[in-house]
Amino acid sequence: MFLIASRNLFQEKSRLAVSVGGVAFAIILMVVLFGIYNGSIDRDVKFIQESPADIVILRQGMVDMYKGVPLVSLADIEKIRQEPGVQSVTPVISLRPAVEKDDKQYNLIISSFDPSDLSQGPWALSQGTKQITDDEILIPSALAKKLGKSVGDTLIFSESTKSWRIAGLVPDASSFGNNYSWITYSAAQSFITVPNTVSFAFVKLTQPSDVAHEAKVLQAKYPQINVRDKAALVQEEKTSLGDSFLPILQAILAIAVLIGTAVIGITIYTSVLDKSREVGILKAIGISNKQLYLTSLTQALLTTVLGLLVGILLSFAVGWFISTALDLPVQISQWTIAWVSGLALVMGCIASLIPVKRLASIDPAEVFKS
Amino acid sequence: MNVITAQNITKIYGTGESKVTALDDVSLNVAAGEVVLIMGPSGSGKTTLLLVLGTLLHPDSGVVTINEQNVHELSNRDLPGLRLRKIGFIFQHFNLLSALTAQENVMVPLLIAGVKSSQTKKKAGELLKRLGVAKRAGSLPQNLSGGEKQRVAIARAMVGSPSILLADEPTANLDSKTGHEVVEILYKYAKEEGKAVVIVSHDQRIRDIADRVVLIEDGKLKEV
Ligand SMILES: Nc1ncnc2c1ncn2[C@@H]1O[C@H](COP(=O)(O)OP(=O)(O)O)[C@@H](O)[C@H]1O
Ligand SMILES: [Mg+2]
Repeated sequence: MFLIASRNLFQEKSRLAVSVGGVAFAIILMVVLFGIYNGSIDRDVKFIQESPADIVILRQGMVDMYKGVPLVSLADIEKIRQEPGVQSVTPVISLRPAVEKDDKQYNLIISSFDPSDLSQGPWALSQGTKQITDDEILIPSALAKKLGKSVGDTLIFSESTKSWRIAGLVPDASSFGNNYSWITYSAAQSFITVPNTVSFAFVKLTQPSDVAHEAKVLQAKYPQINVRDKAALVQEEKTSLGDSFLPILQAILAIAVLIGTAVIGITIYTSVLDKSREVGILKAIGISNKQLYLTSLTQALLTTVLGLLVGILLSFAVGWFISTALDLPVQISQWTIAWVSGLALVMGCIASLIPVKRLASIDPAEVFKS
Repeated sequence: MNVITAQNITKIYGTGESKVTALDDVSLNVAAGEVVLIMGPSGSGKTTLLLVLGTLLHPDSGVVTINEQNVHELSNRDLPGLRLRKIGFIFQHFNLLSALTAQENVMVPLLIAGVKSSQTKKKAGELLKRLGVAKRAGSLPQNLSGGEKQRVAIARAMVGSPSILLADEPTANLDSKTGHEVVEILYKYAKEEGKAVVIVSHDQRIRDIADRVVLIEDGKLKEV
């Protein structure tokens, strides 16, 4: 059956191209969209993920690290620093200014860090240095590009007069309109509204093996603050972001599956129509309906696999183009490829059912007519 | 021994005004090693009879047996298997599968029967050689001459060694020389392998080699 299926498939090159192209299109749509989805989520949590912490301490009742009035008292931080099992505590002051260019406003999320501690601050620099002074700032490279600025240029926040010298550019630090930026802890102190407080603190443990337990112990002892396990915080952020985007993605996914299935189904159906006479010949010879269906299934799955290969290869190309040209984070994971492949095979199986009735109804006696 | 029998077959197409009695109480037996020629004017019911014998058409009444098996007792599910094992069809228009090479066309019945691919290839190759078209084994049907196509088609019909060959005007689209060669092949199949061969044709040469000639007129059959 494989022989007949593959020969029939490759006999009609243009039809094959259309169906493989249709499947590939559906695959690209799915892989790239989920690549953007995963990339965006990963980038969004990058700040927490990359922070030098096992545990993050927030103000009580604060869900999001960057929203609301940030208040963690320095006194609490000092006490936690003395706790057994705690290796270090880094207080962080967070600010949310904006910068403007050509009437467009860009939101910054600034975190403070201690430039003398190399473990703090941004995860990487594409340009410049982490060793900044109190008048310097590290901004996302994508933001610098949008503002038309580079290292050495200066920046002034909206409704402010202080100018900041751009000392370095951070890759992958822009996400959903938020631009993660860094200034020194001492520079950030002048922005504190409530004395002796900071926005949050990063805690490192001496034994990072049991973070969840340690977080619980600290939480019990300090009910006035919110002690969070970093991994859990990352997961929570991912989930909450995912939940808001997933329905849209699922809708597009459904459309892609429909397109793919329809294209395979239609091409297989027209192939069966074209080959009605040959199907009749096979029936006269003695092929069973089940074997005919298997031929159709083989044809559909061959188309699917070809479309899948082309689609996956092109997805990487399209993903690369999107990430460079549109500055969107695209992360194509093995997982995405695996489930998209699985879905494609399901698509092929469903499509192969479309001509089943037609196949069964073909009368081999017709073959004897001229 | 009769390989195939048809008793009191009646087949009516359509209803009412447009009713056509294609076969009217037709009976025919064909024994192993026998070549039977069915002649008759166009529209007399020859193809219809062949379809009924080949289990591709249900008669309105009458019984067909193949190797003593009443085919009407078989379900639609079992009929393809019966045709695959017992019957080879040869058509006026060759009816090769256009995407497959000559050799692959011959392999088809064996592949459907689930024979191993290497074996089917060997067997098809041998048969094409025997029928004198070994050189065209790798050609697509579109690149074959009429005579070559019909030899390939005959090889396909014979490859599973069916006990019955049913041929509907097998030489009508061939020149007289190749037509003669085709007749020769069918005759040999009946005589050398002891198979039943039923041929519908106007071809006089077949008349010369046929063991029996029957004539159909208006759906009625008579021995000549
Ligand atoms: N499917 C059909 N529906 C209606 N009438 C048919 C059909 N097939 C054949 N006939 C009619 O039955 C008669 C016998 O046809 P056929 O067996 O093809 O004759 P032959 O092969 O001898 O030319 C003709 O009158 C033909 O028109
Ligand atoms: Mg006819």
